Amino acid sequence: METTKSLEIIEAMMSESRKSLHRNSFYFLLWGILLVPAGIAEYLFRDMSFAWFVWPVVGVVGGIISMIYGNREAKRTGVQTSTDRITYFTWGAFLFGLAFSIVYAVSNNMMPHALILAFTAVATFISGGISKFQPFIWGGILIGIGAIICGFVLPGTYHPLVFSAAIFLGYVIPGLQLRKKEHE
Amino acid sequence: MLHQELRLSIMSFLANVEWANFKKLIEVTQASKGNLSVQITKLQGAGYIKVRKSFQNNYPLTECRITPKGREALEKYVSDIKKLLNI
Repeated sequence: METTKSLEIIEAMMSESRKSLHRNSFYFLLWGILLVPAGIAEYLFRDMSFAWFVWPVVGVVGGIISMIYGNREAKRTGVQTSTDRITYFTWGAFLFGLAFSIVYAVSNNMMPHALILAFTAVATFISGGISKFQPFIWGGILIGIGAIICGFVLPGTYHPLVFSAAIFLGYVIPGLQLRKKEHE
Repeated sequence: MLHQELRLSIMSFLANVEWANFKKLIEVTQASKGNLSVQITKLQGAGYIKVRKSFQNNYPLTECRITPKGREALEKYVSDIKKLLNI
């Protein structure tokens, strides 16, 4: 084998590995589809004592679907990159934050939205950084602003609506942009 | 060990991912199953890659990942080539 051929092979394989990206837009759209209506439902049923119940339901449903999809996706691509691993750990940590926020807020008679949005902002911002996808970086910032509004500006009644708006703008829209990019 | 087209392809791909399965390696290297299997065994024998065999829905699943020794060997190989080519 010629020496220049060796370099060509190495370069070609590096390029192949860069193509081995998982279709992560699914997770953003799935969680967006679950979380935006959950916020609106909580606002509409705010006078009913069971309104908070939408959150654990959404968490369990989203978690199960994400796991099934993740397994299928790993089989489809047959490869895992370091970006995938960092993404799994980031969103794994986010799930802990989500569960903690709900349990902590409910047991202390607090609204959980500011905390959930803060954790979502961090995970979305990191995802944007590691995947070098600018809309998620801006999405993370937008969701962070939503967390500040819930935490310090508006009364609790409006938190579910701010939550849904922040998730839609900072999560669903970048998710749709990523989906478009994945299908190009 | 690495101055062979298919072995170099496998190592270069694995150096850039966490792990890849047999099917993926066939797809990226365009090699035949038999040839790929032989080269994977050689790389495993040299301690350059780790191979994990399991079953998924009754189908055999082979996952390969590069070892620190393999990464070091690939880096040395690239550096030797660069020296040869004066890059």
